[in-house]
Amino acid sequence: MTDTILEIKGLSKNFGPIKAVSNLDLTIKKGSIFGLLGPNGSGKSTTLGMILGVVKKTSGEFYWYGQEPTAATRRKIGAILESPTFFPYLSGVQNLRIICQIKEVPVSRIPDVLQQVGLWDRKDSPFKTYSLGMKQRLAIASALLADPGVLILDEPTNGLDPQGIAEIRELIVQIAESGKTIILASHLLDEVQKVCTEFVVLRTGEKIFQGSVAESISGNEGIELAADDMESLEKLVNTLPEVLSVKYNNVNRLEVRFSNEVNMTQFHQSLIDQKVVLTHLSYINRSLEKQFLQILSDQNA
Amino acid sequence: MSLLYFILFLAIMLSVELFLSWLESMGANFEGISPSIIPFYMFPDVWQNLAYLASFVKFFLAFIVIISITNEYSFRTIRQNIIDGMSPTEFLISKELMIGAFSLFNMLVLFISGTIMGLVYTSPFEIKLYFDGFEFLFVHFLEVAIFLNFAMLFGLLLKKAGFAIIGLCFYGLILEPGLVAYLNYRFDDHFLIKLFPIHAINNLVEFPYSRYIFMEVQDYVAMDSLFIGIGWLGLLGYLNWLLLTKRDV
Repeated sequence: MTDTILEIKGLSKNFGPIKAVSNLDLTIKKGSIFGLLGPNGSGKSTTLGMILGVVKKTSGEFYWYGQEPTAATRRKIGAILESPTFFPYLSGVQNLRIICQIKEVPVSRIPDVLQQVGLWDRKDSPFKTYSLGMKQRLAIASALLADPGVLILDEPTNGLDPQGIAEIRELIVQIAESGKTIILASHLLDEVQKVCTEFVVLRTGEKIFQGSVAESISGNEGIELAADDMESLEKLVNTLPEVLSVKYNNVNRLEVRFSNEVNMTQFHQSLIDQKVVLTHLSYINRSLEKQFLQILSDQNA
Repeated sequence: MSLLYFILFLAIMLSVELFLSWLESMGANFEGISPSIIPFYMFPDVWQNLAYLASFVKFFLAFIVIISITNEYSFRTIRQNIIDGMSPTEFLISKELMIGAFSLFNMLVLFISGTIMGLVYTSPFEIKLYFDGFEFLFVHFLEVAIFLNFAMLFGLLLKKAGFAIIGLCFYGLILEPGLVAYLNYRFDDHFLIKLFPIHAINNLVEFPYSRYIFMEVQDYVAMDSLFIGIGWLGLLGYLNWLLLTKRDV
C-alpha cells in the first residue's frame, strides 16, 4: 500500500495570459503536516482549487491515493477553501446533514464532530448567527465528517482574533495527533512554523523552495543583550572581532550577530573583565519568516 | 413563496369568468356577442384556453429557478458542495428535478382548475369531451420545463440573480420578439422564426381565443412545434451541463 496521499505532476493553470500555477510538482506523504506558503496571489488557492475539482486544470496530472481524481475520491477528503461556506439560513446541524448526504456518511457522525470542535451548544442556531470563529469551527467539523485521512485547510485563521487563532491552531494540532495528514495553505509564516512539519514556498505560480520546518529553523541568528550601562556595552561589543552587526531592537536591547560560532562563556567572561555586567542574554531563534523573505529576495536577485 | 404562487395561479385560472362579466358590465361586446356567453370553460376548449393562460405565470417560476441557481453561486455553496464530493452532473440533476417538480405542479394545477371549471360550466358532461384536448396538459408540462431550463441557462451564465432576470426578460420580451418581427417583415415568414426558443415555447400552445370570433384556430398541438420544443429541451439541458462541467466553479 502506498503511503503517498497526493501526487502532483506538472500541474498548470492559466487564466487567459496569466500563469496562475505553472508546472508544479509536489508529493505529499501520509502523516505529514504540509504547509503551502506564498504571498497573496502566488497560486496557493488555485492549486488547492484544482486538486479539489473546482478549478479546471490547464495541463498536468494529479492523483489522490494514487488514483485519478473523481467526485468519489473527494468524498474521502475534508477541505475548506477560503471562507467557511454554508447555507446561511440553516442551522449548524442542518448544514452538516446536507454534507452527510453528499459524502454518504451516516448522520450519527454529526454529534461527534460538533463536540470535537466545541459547537454542540449552538448546534440549532442558524449559521448566519455564528461568530467568525464558530463558522470556521463548523467548517472544520464538516471537513471531519467523513473521518478523512487528509484535511485541507486554506487560511484557517484568517480574520480571527488572537484567542480564535489559538483555538483553531490547537484544534489543528489535535487533529494532526490523531494521525491525519494536513495540508495547510497560509501566508502567515508564524502559523506554518508552529504547526507544520514540511513546507513548500510558491511564488507567481512556481515552486521556489521545499524543505522541512525543523531544518529551516534550527540554529540561531545571534544573541540579544542588555546591561545597566547600554552605551559602554555597545562600544565594547563593537570592538570585538567576531561581531558582524549590532543594532537596537524594539525593546531597547542589543541584537548582536557573529560572523562565526562564538563560545558564550568566553564572550560573557570577556565582557565582565571589561566591567560590563549583563542583565539579559538570550539566543535569537531563527524564524521561518526570515528564511522566507531570504528565499524570496534570493529569487529576485 | 410557493403557496403564494399557488394561490395566484389558481386565482388567475378561475377568474376569467369574472373578467368576462366585468367586460360585459362595462358595455363591451364583440360584434353583437356578449362576452359572458363565451364558452371559455367548456370541455374540450377549456384545456387549450387555460393552458394558454397558464403559460404567462411561468415567468414567476423562472425567477424562482434563477434565484435558486444564482444563490448557489453568491453563497458559494455549489463550490463547497463540489469540494465535498458532489459531481457537477449531480448538481445539474438536482436542479432538473426541481424544474420537473415545478412543471408537474403547474400541470396539476391546470388539471385541477380545468376539471373543476369544466364540470361546473359544461352541460351535458361527456367523458369523451373531457379527455379531448388532454394533450395540452402534457404540452404545458413540456413548455414550462423548456422555459425553466432556459432560465437556468441565464442563471448559470450570468451568476447574478438581477442580471439573469433582466437578461431573461430582455431576451424574451424585447430581443427575440424584435428579431422575429424583423424577419417576418423582411422575409415574410422565414423558416428560422420557428426555431427561436421563446417563439418555439409559445408555439406549443397556440393562441386560442380568436376562435370565438373568427371560428378558425389551430386547436391541436402541431407536430413540428413539438419536435422543435423537445429539441430545445435537449439542447438546453446539454448547454447547462457543459457550463457546469467545463467551467471553473
